[in-house]
Amino acid sequence: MHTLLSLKKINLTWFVGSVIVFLSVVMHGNVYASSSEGNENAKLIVTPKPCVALRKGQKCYLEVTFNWEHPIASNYCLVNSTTNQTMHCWQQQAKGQYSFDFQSTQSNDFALRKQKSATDIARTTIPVAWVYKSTKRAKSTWRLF
Amino acid sequence: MDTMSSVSTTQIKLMTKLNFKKSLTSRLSMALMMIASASFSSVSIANDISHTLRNSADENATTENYFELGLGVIAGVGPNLTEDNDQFASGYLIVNGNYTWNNLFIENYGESGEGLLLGYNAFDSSNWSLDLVVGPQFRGLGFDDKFDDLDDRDPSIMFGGRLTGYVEDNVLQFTLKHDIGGKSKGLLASAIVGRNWQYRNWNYHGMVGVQYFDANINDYYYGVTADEAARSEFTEYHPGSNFNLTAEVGVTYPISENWVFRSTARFNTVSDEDMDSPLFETTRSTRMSLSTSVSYVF
Repeated sequence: MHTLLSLKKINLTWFVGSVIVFLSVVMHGNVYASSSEGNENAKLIVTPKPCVALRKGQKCYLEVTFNWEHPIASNYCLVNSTTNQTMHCWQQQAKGQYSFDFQSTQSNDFALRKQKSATDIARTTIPVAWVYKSTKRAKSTWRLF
Repeated sequence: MDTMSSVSTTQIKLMTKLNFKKSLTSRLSMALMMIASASFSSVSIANDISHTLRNSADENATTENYFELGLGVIAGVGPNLTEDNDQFASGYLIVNGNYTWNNLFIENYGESGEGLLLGYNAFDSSNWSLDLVVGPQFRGLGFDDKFDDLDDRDPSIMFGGRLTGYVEDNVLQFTLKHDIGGKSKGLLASAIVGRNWQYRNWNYHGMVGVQYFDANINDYYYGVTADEAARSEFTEYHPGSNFNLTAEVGVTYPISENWVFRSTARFNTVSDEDMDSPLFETTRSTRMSLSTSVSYVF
């Protein structure tokens, strides 16, 4: 009987906790939407992906194209948030396209931001994958059986 | 030492297990033999460096454990043991893999003639690495009825050292191995230098080298004893040692995270010691091949 009550108590606790987490997520989303009108409908897509190198650590090359849309025309910039480099900016546009030659040894994150803003409106990633993993070789090591 | 000198373990198993009609078996054996003779044996020592050049462009990087299966096609010209034709074209199976555990490793670079290789990394520095390796190498003549009257030529168990150096942008590999199985009791050595280049996601490599096969190896696989001569159509023959020059250029391209494309052109000289053997039906002083393959990496 005592065990059964304990189980019910645990289930109730889990349920209440889940509701709190769910509401937090929903409320956070509402706050985000109200503070950034139309941002929830913003899109940033990059094709193709991923970039595949032969082995880990090797620089990967890929011609990519970004397409973005936003319900409200404004001044937007495409930013490489991994390197914090602004790739391209548009003036009073609601959509845009940008192509460039991606070259990196690691995955890079990209974001659409309003000009002179540090807030991401939409995000995407160019993952860098590889076929063969590699390891660094040891330094001057003799081994005996 | 050339033609049937090496064939991958996979191919040998494939040949053993296939139980089709004799004509099909014969054709398959011929195909495998041609692949072996045209593509693998001539660069059997070089393939480890070839693998290094293909997959590890960084001088301080080695490829981690992996396994891959693939299919390829090969065409070229070269000596032929059984047909009066120096041209060949065929498909082949690729089984590549490497597993390392506490400096012990097992590797099978299917496009090489070395087949399955067990090894121990005895020394490793920033520029040099020494492996002790052992594995079966070379093959017999059982693939054609023409050689039925001859003694069996069994694979040699080659044991020795493989020293690989990374000097600036070049990779050097020196190999010295001896048959500890007591079949050929032969010795072989090689010195290969190569390098790679990356252009976007295409990985190119090139290498040149020289290989030495002692008289024991040549005599065991290409020689004809007095007893064999007495009971067969072949005349007695005892070749000496020989050197081969070898060269290879290739490209490797990652199609996706699991698929790899390779294309390779190979060239090597063929010594008179081999070509004077009565076992050969067609002789040439050079061998050239072009192969292309696609592999799935697990």
